[in-house]
Amino acid sequence: MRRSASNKRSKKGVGLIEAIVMAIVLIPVTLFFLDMIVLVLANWTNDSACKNAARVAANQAIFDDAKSASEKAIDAYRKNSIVKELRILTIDYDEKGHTTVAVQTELIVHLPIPFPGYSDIKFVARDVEPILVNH
Amino acid sequence: MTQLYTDKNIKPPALNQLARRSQRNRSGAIAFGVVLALVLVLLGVGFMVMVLYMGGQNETKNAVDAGALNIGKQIVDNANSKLGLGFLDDKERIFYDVLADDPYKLIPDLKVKSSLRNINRVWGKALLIGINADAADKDGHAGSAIDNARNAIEGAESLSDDLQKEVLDTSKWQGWFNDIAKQNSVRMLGKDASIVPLNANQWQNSCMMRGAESNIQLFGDAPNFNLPPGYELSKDAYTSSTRESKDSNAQGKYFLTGYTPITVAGKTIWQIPFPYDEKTHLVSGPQFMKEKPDSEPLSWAKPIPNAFSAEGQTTKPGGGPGEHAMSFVIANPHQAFRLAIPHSFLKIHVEKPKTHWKFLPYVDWVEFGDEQEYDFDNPNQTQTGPVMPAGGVGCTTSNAGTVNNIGLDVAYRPLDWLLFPPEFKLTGTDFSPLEDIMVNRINEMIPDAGTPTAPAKPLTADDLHKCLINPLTIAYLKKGIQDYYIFSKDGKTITCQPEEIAEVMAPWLRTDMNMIANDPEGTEKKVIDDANMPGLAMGDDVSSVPLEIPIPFSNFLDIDWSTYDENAYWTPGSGYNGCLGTVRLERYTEIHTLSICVPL
Repeated sequence: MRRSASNKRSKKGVGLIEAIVMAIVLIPVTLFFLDMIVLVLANWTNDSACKNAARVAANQAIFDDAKSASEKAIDAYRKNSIVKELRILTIDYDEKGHTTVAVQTELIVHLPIPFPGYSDIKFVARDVEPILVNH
Repeated sequence: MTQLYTDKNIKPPALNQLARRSQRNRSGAIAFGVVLALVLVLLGVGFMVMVLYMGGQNETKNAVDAGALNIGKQIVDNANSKLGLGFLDDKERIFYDVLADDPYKLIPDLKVKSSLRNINRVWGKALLIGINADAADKDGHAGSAIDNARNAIEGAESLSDDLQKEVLDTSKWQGWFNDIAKQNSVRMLGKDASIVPLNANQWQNSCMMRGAESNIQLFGDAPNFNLPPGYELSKDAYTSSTRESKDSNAQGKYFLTGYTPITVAGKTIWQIPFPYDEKTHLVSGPQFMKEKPDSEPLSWAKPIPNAFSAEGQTTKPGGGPGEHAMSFVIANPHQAFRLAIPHSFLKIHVEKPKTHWKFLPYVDWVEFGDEQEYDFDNPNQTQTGPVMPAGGVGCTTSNAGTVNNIGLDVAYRPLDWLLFPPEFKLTGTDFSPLEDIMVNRINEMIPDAGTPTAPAKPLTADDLHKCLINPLTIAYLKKGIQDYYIFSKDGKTITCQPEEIAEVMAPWLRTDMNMIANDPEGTEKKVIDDANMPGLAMGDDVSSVPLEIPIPFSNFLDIDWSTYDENAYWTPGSGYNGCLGTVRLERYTEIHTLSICVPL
């Protein structure tokens, strides 16, 4: 009887250990991939925002208009608990030659499951578009 | 054989199997956990790869879009045929004013270029020359204008065909594509991945937005649009803006119709659709394909396309699968012009004012004696009239005598008051036939259409009168200058000057084929026929000699009176040689001498 009870306990312990070991492996993997997905989507969002900002800037005749139009385009992207900040770093508008406009944006993403020391990740995107309006 | 199991510790085979199965389950749970972890890792990696691939596709598409947009932008100005003025025949040379970047500058360009930006202006100028010729032909006063209009249309066609070759040259498109596409990142496909053109020799073109407006704007009310009086532009030739509902600035504006044949002077001209205030932008691939000249042919033998495709591929230094994308773009110069002949002028020739002497021998007035000129600078000139034999009723002779106050009708008047004397309006004179012609022609000189936010306005009769009322013309007339030129020195406003001043203000009147020396091709017609009002010139010694035979007569009445008169003539010019026509003005005073003698 004693041996049988001990066996039963030991079996339960093994199951628990197995579950813990599995959890130790599976949970970090899952969380890691969750973070990765967030990072990829954030990068995608940054690229898309940068593209839109550059496109609207390319449709303006002067730098001031280009700046305000791209800022408006960026404002359309809503910030949330994950996307902490999305802003324009530089607008390189060729006002003299009216050739191209290059827009650089920065997106700061807050990881849902932060790595120690890496809770916020910065993404920088750059897009170049031809200016499509006359002087 | 039957086995007996009496000891409780000895398990029957079924129980052993259960125990083994339980052990297997326990070890299977670990295996399942490991496999699940592996599957999760694989799924995650797969998902990452897929996301990167899709992101790479997106980046590739964006880069190709940017490259295609640059093709649409650059092709407007940089696919061009450069034309040295010395190598052009007259048919093409006449288009200098719509090909040059600034046709009004002091020193003209020796080379100009035709491009998508200005080719509609070239066709438009040819159309306007044709319209002027057709309108003159309808009146029977075209002269050689129809031939010239056909020459102009042939010149425009030749320039258009040359430009088409340049526009279709896809090797240039590649350079413009690379300029921008390569600057865009495709890092999701690898750190060193970059975009390269794909199948560049197979990039395509299309004639899109058929029936939409071109960038040649028409000013004034439909269907005349300030064209020659009485002329009605064909309904197919013009259209309102396709952007009327989207862009309030486009409302109420009319343009020539793109990719629609417009017949004038027996020939066809073409326009390329460039919707108003629209920029070069991406378009749908299926629509692009549908409107390709191969799929949906135009009757234009060598159509110039307005839409272009580009294809790009991502390459990586180490090889591996790359993305490719195709984009379609419709070009637009984003600049409207007025249907105009910028280098053109309207000539006004003022004849010296004259006195005509009229007598009434029997029942009708007849003119007798030489007409006598008088000056513009003295309202009180005196002239001696002729003596007309049998110039009065019952008279041997009638003598107009000395007449005073000649010149009051023209003295100290600017050109406007000579052409359109305000006092004549009191007698109900209708100057609109002349005014309408001149307003039409001054509008034909102005190419500036303004901007969407500050649109230009058509010139009106008020603008004409403001231009003609220039007080300096009083001095010029006093000096004896008879020829005046209305022209635009900036493409926005008009001025009226004598030749010496005109060629200083607008050197192109000389430098552009010495056009100021040209006369209109049409034949003259009278547009103001003896407009008149009572004058103040009067003789103080009118006399007559009564008849003696067959019976003696005696003087009964010897009086005179005057009228101030005007004739205006119009010789239409098509604008082919720069001259849009000549207004010839005759101002004169008629002295009516009435002598009546009665039998004794």
